[in-house]
Amino acid sequence: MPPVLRARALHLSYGPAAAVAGVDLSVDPGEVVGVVGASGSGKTTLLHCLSGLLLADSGSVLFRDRPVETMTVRQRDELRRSHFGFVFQFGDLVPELTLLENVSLPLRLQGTRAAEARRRAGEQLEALGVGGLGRRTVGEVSGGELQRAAIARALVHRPDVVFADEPTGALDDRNSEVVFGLLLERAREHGAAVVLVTHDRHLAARTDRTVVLAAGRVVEPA
Amino acid sequence: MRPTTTVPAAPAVAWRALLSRQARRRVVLLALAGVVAALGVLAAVGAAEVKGRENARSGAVEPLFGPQPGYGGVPVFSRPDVPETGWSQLEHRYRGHIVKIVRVADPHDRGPFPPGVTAWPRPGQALVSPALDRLIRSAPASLGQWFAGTDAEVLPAAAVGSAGQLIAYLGVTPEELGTLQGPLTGFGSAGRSGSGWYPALGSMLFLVMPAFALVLTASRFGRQVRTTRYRALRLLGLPAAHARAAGALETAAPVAAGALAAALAWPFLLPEMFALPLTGRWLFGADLRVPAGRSALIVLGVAVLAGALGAATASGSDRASRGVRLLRPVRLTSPWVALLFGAGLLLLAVAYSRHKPRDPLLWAAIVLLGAGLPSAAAWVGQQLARLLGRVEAGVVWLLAMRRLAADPQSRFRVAGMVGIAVFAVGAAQPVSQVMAQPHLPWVAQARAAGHTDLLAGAETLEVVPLRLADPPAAVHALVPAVALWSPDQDRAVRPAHAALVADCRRLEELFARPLPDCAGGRMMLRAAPLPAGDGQPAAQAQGRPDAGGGLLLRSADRTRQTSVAPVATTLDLPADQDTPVWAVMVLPPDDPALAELGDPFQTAAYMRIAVDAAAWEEARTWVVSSSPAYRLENSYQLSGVLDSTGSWVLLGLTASAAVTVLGALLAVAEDGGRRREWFALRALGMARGRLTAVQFTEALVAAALTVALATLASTGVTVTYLRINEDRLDSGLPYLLAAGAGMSVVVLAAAASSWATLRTPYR
Repeated sequence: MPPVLRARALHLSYGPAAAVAGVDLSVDPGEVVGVVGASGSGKTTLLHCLSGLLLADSGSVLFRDRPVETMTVRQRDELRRSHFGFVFQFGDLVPELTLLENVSLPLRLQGTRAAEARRRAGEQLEALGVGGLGRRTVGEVSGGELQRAAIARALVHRPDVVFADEPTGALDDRNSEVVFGLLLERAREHGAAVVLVTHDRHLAARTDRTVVLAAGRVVEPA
Repeated sequence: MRPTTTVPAAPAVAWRALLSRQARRRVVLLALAGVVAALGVLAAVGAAEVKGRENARSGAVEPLFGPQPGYGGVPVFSRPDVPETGWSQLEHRYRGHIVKIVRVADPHDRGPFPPGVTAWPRPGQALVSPALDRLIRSAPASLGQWFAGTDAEVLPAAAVGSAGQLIAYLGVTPEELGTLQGPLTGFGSAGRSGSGWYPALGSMLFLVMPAFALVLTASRFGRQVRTTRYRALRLLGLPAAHARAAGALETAAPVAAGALAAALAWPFLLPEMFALPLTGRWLFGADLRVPAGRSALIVLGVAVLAGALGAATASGSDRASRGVRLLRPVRLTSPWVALLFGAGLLLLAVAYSRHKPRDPLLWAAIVLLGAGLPSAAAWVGQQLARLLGRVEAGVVWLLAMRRLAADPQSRFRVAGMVGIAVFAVGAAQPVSQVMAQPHLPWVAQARAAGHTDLLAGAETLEVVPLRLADPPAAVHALVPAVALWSPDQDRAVRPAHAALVADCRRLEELFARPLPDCAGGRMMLRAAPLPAGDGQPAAQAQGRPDAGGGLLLRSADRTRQTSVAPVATTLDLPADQDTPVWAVMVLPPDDPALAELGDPFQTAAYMRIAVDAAAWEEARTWVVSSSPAYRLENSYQLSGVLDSTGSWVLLGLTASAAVTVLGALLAVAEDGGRRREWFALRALGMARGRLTAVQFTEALVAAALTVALATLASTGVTVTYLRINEDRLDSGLPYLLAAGAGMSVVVLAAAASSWATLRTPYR
């Protein structure tokens, strides 16, 4: 099966400093790839390039063999909306919305009717063990509950790839284990590939494959 | 154990904070806030100072006379061996302008002279103010004819009371002047020394709210960073007092620098900024210099205000650092935040029902409504957003309503400040309209009686006979006012004087009896202020003079006068038709005694005539038919307001607009630090256009609601104020303009905010 996502000779600089320097990477469908490295090694920038949030200075990112860099802004929006999911370190849910509304947001953006979107979002929250918190807002739940809702939001529209940027970075060990386990479990259930950025080698060890970055370069491919 | 510091901690922390790269934008914005706030107060204080300086100039000083003839003095020029100066002044109206014409006879060049005048003009010469000179050159020939055959020189600008003052000193011979007045002995100040401070204080009150809001917004800028900093420093052991002092210094220093720069630049800004031609006039005649001591106080006041607000941030971080309670933004969830606005509405309703002139409740209501508008708009907006958020209308609508409901303070920050400006414009409209009209009791009563078309007057007394060719008999007796325009006058411009043409013969017909001392035919009538107990029953006035005395008649030389009782049989009045009457007699131009008299002359008396309803109606019909229908035009009113108190209104509105714009800039800059909020939504694939739509929806709802509330409040003020003054609104255009401009400002601020927040490297 061809890789769902592939990067070729990616290069991106912020001024004189290269954040990503000639990275090659491919992600197969359903595969969980860990990207590890020290702070400032270019992990998050690489993740943004792979997801189409940033366009690299040179090189190419292919999603199902379609070059992302040649897509229009609207097409890249559509790509993220339909095929990608995101989990950030602090959840980054919309603070003014309830958890249910946050999780249903990707579906609403795709045009799903509100009632249907809420139903599916409720199921997703239920599956992640926070079904009773749907009417609460971001400020009314704990960090672990917030990250579970973030995972639910990333998976509710059944994306092909989930990008997770330090998804457990703000959690204690116990919650990290639970949340990370849920992320992998639910992603595998949906058949979604996961690109996981973390500096926690213990978590990275649970991925299918790990890529180590240093100074923007892949120094230890799996 | 208390930590010890080797250097004063507060200045050191504040200094470091100010010099950091991250603080650069905040420092610049705070300094700008200081500039604008200080400029506003400096302008108000400077304008008050101007009043004092103008009062000391020749055009504004009041002449002082020796004893009048008949009161222990002798007529001027009656002693040939004593050099005396005679003076007679009269204010004429010309196209909405007041032209002050001073006839002065100084045959011996002895003076006295007011400041700026070194010699009085000889007969056939005139000194005219620069503004009058310009008006004469630009106006049709009618005004120039006033000075035909006169050699006119222009007074230096520094010699007139204000740059727009229309004044002429006409040299005349003692014979031309007459002998009515005592000799001119000197000049005194036209007004009390502090007279300029009343409108200045009003302006400053008007400036307080937006200036406070501006400094508040500016001081809050970067609050999160500072809270984090002071929380960390407190945890490291920085004393609470030091943290507060550092917070105060960090905020106050840039504001003080900006205010100081404004104070230093003020003298250089004045000549250009405040001598701008405005509808042909100038805002201020003198410059707006502010004494150094007062400037220093202004700078200090602005800085102290900023410092107090800055200290509050550090104080909050102090509480947070001790874990007493978390630092949470205050949520507008309580209806108490709308208390000020609600109280204003309540007072307005009471003022409306009391219907009392110069009601302090009305002015208190205006202040409360203006001050309470931003918080009331935010609270109402929050409730409305909660309600509207239930409507299923897509993601954009959902996000906009949820954001409005969750943080109305931020969402309504710009709209609230704009709301104050919109309210101020709307509330100023009825005040300016009423101020542009004559304050005559009979006007109010005539209007209350439904005679709204009787507001009329002559441009100048000279043109009265031109308009009144053949008034009916009833007019001779009863017309309280007659519409008078000069032949070449624009009919849309309101005449400004009431007049009744009569002479001795007509007056004797009116009173059905011979009038003593009326042989010369030089009589005139004019209303005096109404006596106490206004509104007495008609029966009391019928056929009898009222408590103010009968009808006072004087001959032109004031040497003969008598009081005449109106005759009941002629002035029969049905019940409830008691109407005070303003009446002026002006000599017809062909009267042979006119040359003797010089100018048309008027003197005051009071009479209360019981008016026959049928005669009134006849007179009214004649007035209406012989006068072009007119309505007060806003252009005229604006012109009038600019001449009088409009300078203050404009000053306040300009400052308010400047404060609003800067407040919007601050809000946009603050929004620029919240880009992360939008990044997550972009990552979810939400198009930038949709995010922009969210921001615009928020802005539109906030603007529409705030402007609607502001217009509602200002309309309430208008209705109440006009009811009290027995007036009606001439045009709703200013409300539409204010509302439109207000909406535009909020939407433009939203556009700028959108650009700032969505301008991310994430393409």
